[in-house]
Amino acid sequence: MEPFELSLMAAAEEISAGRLSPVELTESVLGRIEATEGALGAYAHVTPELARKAAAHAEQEIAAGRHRGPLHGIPLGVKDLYDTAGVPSTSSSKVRAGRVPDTDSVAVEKLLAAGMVMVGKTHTHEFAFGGITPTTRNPWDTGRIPGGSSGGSGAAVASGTCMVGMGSDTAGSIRIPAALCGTVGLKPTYGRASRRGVASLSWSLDHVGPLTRNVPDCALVLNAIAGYDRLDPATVDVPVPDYTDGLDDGIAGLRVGVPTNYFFEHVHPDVERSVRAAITVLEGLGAELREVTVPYADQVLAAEWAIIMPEASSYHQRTLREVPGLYLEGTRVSLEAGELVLATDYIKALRLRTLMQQGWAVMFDDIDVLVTPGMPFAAPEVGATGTTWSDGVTEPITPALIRLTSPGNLTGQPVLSLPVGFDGAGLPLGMQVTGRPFDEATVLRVGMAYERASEHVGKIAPLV
Amino acid sequence: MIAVETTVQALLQAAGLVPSPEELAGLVAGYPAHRAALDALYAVPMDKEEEPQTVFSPLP
Repeated sequence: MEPFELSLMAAAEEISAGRLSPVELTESVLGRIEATEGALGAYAHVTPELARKAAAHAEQEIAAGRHRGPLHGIPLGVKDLYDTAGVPSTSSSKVRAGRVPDTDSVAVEKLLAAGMVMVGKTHTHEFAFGGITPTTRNPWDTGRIPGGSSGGSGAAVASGTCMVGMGSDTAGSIRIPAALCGTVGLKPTYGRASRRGVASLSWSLDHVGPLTRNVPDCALVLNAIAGYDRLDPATVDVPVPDYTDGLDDGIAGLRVGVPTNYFFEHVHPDVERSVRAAITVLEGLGAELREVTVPYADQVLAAEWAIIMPEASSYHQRTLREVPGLYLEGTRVSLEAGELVLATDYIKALRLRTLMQQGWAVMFDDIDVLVTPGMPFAAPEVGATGTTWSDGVTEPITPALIRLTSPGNLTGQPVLSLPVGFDGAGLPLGMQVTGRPFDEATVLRVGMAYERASEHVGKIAPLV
Repeated sequence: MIAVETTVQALLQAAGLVPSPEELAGLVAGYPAHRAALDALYAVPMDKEEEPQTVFSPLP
């Protein structure tokens, strides 16, 4: 096994035991980037010199007995939406070409302080406004999309060109690429981790979080990035547990909600089969299954659109008027369409969101987690514009990509996406585990139990 | 009945945006579906004076 194939946890154990050096690990990952980047296009900027310097520094510190913890010396890819000091941070857009911030975003600052080695900036769908990431290809089949908007991080983690890929999630942008690329992805609770220094798509829906190869790796990263930041008005000053505690405690007696509406409607049979098989695995581990009805399901996409569109148009208000030609056509048209949402629509959506949140809280009186499909299908082909379901209904690609993930953004609850198998074409399929606000620990525990009981989590795409 | 094209043009003009003719045509063509999607918001009666969460808190 090559070092780049190791999970974060496995690499950390090797480093801690002195059997692997951060320099050796980083060189292995940089070599993997060189071998795959031509086919994948996962990175907006690769930073080999910075990575080698950071790895050498980590090696010296560890040799001197100053081991900072499990993230020390581990290669990291950072979505280009995040500010990184001294490194181009362009949101994969010509609008920000050449932009080099002086400071790191809070999440990056914390990860670098924990000793991580940044190997580059991963591509985002321009300004995170889309679920495709047109610059990047899926490592399981380069004729297919990786999903988005954190598509670069999804492709990078799945192909072994970093062990952690940071993402952001406003309508599913961590969980979409996680599902389509076969990685684990965690959208923490809204306000669990600071978004300061990360370009906004929609202030009231934006979350930051990691994509990793397995569940414990996600817990380790969350340990580093979680916490209150008085300069991010979304963050909440609540205690931060050690998310690795209790990961292996099992799920006996845990109440697992299985939706009877919305989440299994218009999903590919392979998705339904894999997710229901995973639910059976959870039941076999002692979980109690409970059927639940998801409230306000018919309003999910309306509320998501009515909030995300005008907030995005507001964020881009000046540049859309000054340099419209620098945006990709699809982004520009979406921003123009955001100007067509009435202020009263926006406020109505915010009011409806209150009802939706209350309805979900009542639903969670009877369950501890909700388990659902992550995506309605496996990775679509590059250029696909939509899908036609067996009942003849045609669904455009963007609403299809965000339909199952948007509830988590609207309610702000933590959601873990993890792989649950492959379709007939060998493409990965994903499942979501949603928990109560700030109960990432339970969500991760369910994910860990499934990971231990299955063979689907932790795979690297066989891209040469 | 105001034509969709007039509505879209008026909204864009009020916003100070001048899209290309091709993009304007696309926005006009897409507006009925766009509006219908937003109208789903109004299918929910709001009897309790629910307040909007202008600063969203994840805790209900």
